[in-house]
Amino acid sequence: MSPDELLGFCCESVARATKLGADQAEVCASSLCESKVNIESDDIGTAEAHEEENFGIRVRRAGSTGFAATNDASPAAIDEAIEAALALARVTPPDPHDAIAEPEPASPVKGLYDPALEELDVARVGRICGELVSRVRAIDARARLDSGWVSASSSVSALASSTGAEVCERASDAEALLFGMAVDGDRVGSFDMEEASVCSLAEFESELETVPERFVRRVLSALEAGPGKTFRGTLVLSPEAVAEFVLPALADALSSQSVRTGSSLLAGKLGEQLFSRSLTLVDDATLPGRPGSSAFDREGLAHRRLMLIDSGTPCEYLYNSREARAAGRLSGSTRHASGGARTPPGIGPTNLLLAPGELDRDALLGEVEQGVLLQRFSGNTDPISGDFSGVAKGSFLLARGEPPRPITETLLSGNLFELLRQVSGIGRELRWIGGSVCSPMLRLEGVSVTSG
Amino acid sequence: MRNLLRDLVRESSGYVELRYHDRHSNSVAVEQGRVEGAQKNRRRGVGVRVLEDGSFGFASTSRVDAASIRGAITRARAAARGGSAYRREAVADLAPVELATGTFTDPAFETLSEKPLDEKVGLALEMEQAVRASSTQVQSGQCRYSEIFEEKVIATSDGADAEVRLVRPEFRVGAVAARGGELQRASESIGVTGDWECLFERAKPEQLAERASRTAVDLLSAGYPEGGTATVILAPALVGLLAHEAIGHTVEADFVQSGSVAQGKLGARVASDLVTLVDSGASELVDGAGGTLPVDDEGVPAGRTTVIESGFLRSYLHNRESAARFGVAPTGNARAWEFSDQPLIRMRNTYIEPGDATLEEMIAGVTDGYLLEGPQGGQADATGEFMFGVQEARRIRNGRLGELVRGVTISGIAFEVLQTVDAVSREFRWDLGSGYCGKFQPAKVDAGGPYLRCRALLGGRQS
Repeated sequence: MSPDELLGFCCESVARATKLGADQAEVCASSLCESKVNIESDDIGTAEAHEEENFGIRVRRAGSTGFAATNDASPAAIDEAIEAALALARVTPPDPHDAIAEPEPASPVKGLYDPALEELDVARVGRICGELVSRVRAIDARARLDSGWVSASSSVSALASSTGAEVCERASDAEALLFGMAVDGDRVGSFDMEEASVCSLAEFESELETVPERFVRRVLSALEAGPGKTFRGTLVLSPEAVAEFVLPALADALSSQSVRTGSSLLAGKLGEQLFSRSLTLVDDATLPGRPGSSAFDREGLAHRRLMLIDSGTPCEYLYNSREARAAGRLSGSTRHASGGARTPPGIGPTNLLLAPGELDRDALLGEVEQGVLLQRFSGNTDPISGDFSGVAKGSFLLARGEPPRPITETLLSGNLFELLRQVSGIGRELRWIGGSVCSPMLRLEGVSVTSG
Repeated sequence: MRNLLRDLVRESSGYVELRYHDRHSNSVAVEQGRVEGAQKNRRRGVGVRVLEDGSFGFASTSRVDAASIRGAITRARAAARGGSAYRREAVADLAPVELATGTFTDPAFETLSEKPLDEKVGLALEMEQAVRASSTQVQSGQCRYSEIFEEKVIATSDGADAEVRLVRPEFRVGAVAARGGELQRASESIGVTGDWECLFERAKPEQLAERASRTAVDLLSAGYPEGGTATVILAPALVGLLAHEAIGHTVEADFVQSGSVAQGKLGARVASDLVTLVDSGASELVDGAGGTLPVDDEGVPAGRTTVIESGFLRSYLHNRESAARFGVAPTGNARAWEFSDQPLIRMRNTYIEPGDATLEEMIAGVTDGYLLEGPQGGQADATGEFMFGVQEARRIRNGRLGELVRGVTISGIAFEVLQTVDAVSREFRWDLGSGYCGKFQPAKVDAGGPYLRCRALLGGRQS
């Protein structure tokens, strides 16, 4: 469906829901067209072509909320979903804080849609994928591609509600993911991956130039890994490790839902100097040309830039409308209703940006007396307590005056929130990870390292 | 639907696989006395896979009429041709096998769908309230009930003609305890392929709620281990995690082909002779395993595969393509999450067979070690190196259980750890039925086993 058709369909469905008995209704819809070619065992795998629409219907009745989703646009299926949502509302206790959001204008975010990506059919995606596989093989035959893909998609999102919201947005996305390891005789290295996720064909072609080299360099570096050491020392995180290890726990602790339910150590601590002064974290969905950007959130409210941690001081939680009402927040939602058409609004960050520091990579690593350069973290971080424990993957042992040495069978543990008080350095180079996190390298003090 | 798909594959040339999948899921989540979400989700459609020009093409449609499915077949053929031009090696013929025909219906599908919605919502509200009421130190409770109803029809041009209906309910309850500005959490969960009675056969919801809150409170007083290599007794859930994550993935044939640590090891000793590891589509030994399925998504009967027999690696896990490549029979491991997903090689119910020891005997034989219960996620690597988080770790000294410690992670190289197994219990249970396996798409799996004693690396805190 075109943006106008999808939005029109949402409006009609809202009218149908109120006719069937909803006091309030909201319909969120998405339409996706995707070409994808998979990589399987160092070769081209299954090629896929997808077209799909999804519709999520949220109704309010007598103070209670119900939600149902369907991928069937037929009138009977939409009616069935509305009735299912109403049935759930009937058996759910009322919540005075839940309501369909009041509408507000949203400005378009530039650079989210490139018609050239929509023209990438499965044959062209197959050619790009074939070239990636060939280039990995040509660089070093020890690098093995277990899996991965290249995909190009275009999508339309729309939302309408009985309170008058009518918003829609078109976007495009191109992704490449290489996942595998190095194998040399009997030696097998750790898994690693390299990816690119962008909104335009020109940017995609630029990323594809370096993705195979980056992948091969990563997997080969883990091939010579040996045992680490047991000590308490420094942890230097790559941008990828920041994205998977640090930011999800921080985002969870900053969620107003975690705060309300007593599941956040940051509850009641806005304005307190909790972390190192060098730590600044911003959420911003309005950045042009980023896959994590969009004009509006899951409730149709206009996205805004939001300072979350300013020089080590948490300054705002993430709210959707329901949590903002529950908290009695006069300024309402921070526009962080998350999710898509298949789920009711949740709470989550959009693009997270950790501010850069002043150190280059050599300075970050060279000043370390004894530590670990963490590329990937395979473990658990409890966002409630901040305790973490897990394995350092694709990582290196650091010792002053010696080159980094790849390590295996090395466990890290500590408390993330305590470590964030002991930031001893931040890199000046930024890297985008997964299309929605932008981070420099980060150096922390006081991690426990255990080796077998 | 079955007649329609049968007619459509008959009129097609070459290999065509049609899979109708109608998935209804219902869920309710309660936290701190409030329903966070009550939702119903229905996705249905037909996934089409064709083998053309030595390459697979896949397309899907959410419209389930003949014209739309024919259109998807055409798009799948175009996709296959688009991919085949760049393939290094053409897909060989699929391995021959007697494909499933008939109807496979779990009676639980009807009985659970007839259970009133308000009872399911009411249980979640009641148990969350019970958690908060259990202790003054519990400051937050969570409870979630969900159920997935699956209806599938699988028809292939070489003879599969099967209809499957089953249901998988899950229940999860959690607590956050607080003291002196410190927070600890714990949760209990259970998931089965079966009905309401099956879900709560091993433990009643009240027992699960009580256990979650008690563990969260106890963890507030727990210290941290020092770390290092230790003797550990793994509870069935952790044994299941070891079987699934650290061994199971390395024997998936697509991964073997890429160079996993299991490559070239068929017939080799990879574990102590006390270890026999199985992956099965059936719920072996105890009913209700969460990954149970009668037929896989290529129409192959989902049988029982002995992966490790008394310490020796005997088999990989296959779909029809990999089975042809390896010259063996398919094992019924091709699975797709939704109609719009292509089938991948996935596990079903993976376990280590029980032995003849008792847990008490196993504890009595430990001078210095840990009893580990309650998995908190796990991952494994191409090398067989694994990492599992542990909710409850209890010290064992001189054959006696001691204090609780927290923040424990264990790690090791799976085949090396399995070589150190020196005791296996008689007691057996499935214990990962509420878990999902992630391999680019989710899969409902289960895993379990007996208690198992071995040596592994424990993460700890250095002063």
